[in-house]
Amino acid sequence: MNEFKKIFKIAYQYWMKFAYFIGEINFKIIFSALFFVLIGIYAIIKKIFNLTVEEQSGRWVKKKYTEPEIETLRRQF
Amino acid sequence: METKKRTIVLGISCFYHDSAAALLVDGRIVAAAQEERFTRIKHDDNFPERAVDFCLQSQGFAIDDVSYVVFYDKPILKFERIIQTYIKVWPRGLRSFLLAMRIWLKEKLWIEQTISRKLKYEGEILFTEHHYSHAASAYYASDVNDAVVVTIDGVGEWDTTTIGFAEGNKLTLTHSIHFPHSLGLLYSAVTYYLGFKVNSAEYKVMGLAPYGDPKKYYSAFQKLIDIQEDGSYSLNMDYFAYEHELSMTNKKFNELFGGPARESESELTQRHKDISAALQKIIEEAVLQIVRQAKKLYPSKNLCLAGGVALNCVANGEILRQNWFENIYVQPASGDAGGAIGAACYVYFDVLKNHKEDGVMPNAFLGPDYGNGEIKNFLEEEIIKNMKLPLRYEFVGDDKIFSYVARLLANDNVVGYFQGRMEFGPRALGARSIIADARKKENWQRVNLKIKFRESFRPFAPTVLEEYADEYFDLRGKISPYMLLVARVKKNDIPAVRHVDGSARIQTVNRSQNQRYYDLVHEFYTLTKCPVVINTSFNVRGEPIVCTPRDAFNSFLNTDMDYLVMQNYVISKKANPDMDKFKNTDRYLKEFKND
Repeated sequence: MNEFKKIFKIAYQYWMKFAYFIGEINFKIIFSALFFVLIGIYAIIKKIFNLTVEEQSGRWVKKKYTEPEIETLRRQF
Repeated sequence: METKKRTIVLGISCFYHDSAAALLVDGRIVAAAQEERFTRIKHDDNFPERAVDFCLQSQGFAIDDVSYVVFYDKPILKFERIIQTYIKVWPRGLRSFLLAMRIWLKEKLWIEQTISRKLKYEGEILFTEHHYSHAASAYYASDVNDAVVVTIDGVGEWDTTTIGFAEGNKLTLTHSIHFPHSLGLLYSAVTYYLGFKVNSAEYKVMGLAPYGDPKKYYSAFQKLIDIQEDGSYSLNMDYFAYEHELSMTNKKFNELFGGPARESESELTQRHKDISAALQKIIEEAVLQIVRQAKKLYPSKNLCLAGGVALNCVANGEILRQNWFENIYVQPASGDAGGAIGAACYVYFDVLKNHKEDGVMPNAFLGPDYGNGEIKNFLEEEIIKNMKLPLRYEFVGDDKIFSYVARLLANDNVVGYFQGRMEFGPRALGARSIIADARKKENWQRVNLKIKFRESFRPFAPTVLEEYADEYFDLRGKISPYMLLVARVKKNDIPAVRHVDGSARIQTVNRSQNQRYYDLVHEFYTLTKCPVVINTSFNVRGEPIVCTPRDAFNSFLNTDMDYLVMQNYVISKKANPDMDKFKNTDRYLKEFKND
């Protein structure tokens, strides 16, 4: 019985290593596609219509006042 | 009789650098610590489980007693900024995007869940804005009731610099400058270029600056940053890579400064020193313009400063010399660690509308302490019994300990001084300090090279008795209890703390802040007529400041320190020749990564 456990444990470890390796490849493929397609579409539209963000000009931006309330602090945005 | 329920707020900062936790109970910060002190990993950015444990346990609370847990920034806003930046720089930035997504999807987008899971906390979890956390950490910790508030750091959600005002329990930030324009990131970019570790060794660049000529590269910096009359500024992003690369600077930056980035640990040339000097000059100009603008908008006699750039004590000294304010308060933990304090304060005062009183954070001694019993037990059990080191140590009573240690200092000994609660923030203020005689110039090199094992150019800070501060330093009547102001040294008899440009980063000490340190420096004054000692943090290069008696003993054992004084226990190297057999400096230094 113990021998079986040992074999399964080793097999499991190798399987996890393989899964991690495959996961890495999947991650890179999926997120590279996201970068070039989703981010790319937004970026191209922004560039075509010249939608520059004024807030990123390095000049003072007036901060929007938000009442300090528990409800607003519950939000992560 | 029914007792009033206490309001307990736990502030947390983590996942960027300098993770920390702070505990506020009924309007007082009662405990705070950085995670690095427990894990012994400098600038540890992991979830601060041990720091939280310390905060709660030291005050006798369980996690269920906590009314609110507050995280020091708004993760989704930060994530939005990152995505917007990739849209802006596309098609560049794939490598950086993949790295960022991996971290964000795995960890940073799940902060609420992480807090609940790691702390087993079922109560309310709140999120403040990053710069509100900084601003609150300075204003509410100060004992003023209205102030102009300025925060400057690398980047929060979008903000990199903010101006606002505060009165009573109301803090409002009204103006900000947005990423990518950032004084903090400019400083970090040059730190990177000079071969030092970003978010870690910026203070080395500040220490290097007085060796250089600011004029040589000033015009180069004018190409990098455009500072306006109103204090706003923009960086020329053609020279920086941090929006889309894993490095801070690019080829164009290298060309501007006449060569590639310096390799870590390679020789520091005059060119590097001149670049540091010019950077420091331009940063001071920018900070002064920002503060001037803040003063113009909100004419208060008090200024509160926070954010990583507020640790630039040379720039703070310039603000002091303008005489624009009666009081300048700089949060001692101005970096992200202090955000934990600010987040807790913001909720308690602004959100819960509690009245602001003095003494929210009367000093920075908020960490763990160890009594004589624990220290004796450590020496007997861990060192003598387990380590089998036949240690000789002596107990010196409170009536004699300070004069005893003062005599050691006057006799040219370097002393590790471990007393009371550990400091919160990057500076050692006499609780976890290495101290030496400031009158002996050779102590500068001796402590740098044989005890701290760090670069020889690094200066040392003086501690001066508050009542003699103006006699020795050009502080213009101000105090500097947290070592956050640089001023000119007026006297010539303390060469070990006088930097090459005649300045020093000063710590003033009074008895109400730190009785055991004040009494020691006072005894030194009685003996020598000099009210100044060298004070440097109790650690070696790359090591977090010591926290426990074990950390202190290890550091003492593996360096050339002469004495270790832990509370009332005194250990001498001379009296313990056997210690040499247990010393392994090389192995000890390898435990810590250089910064």
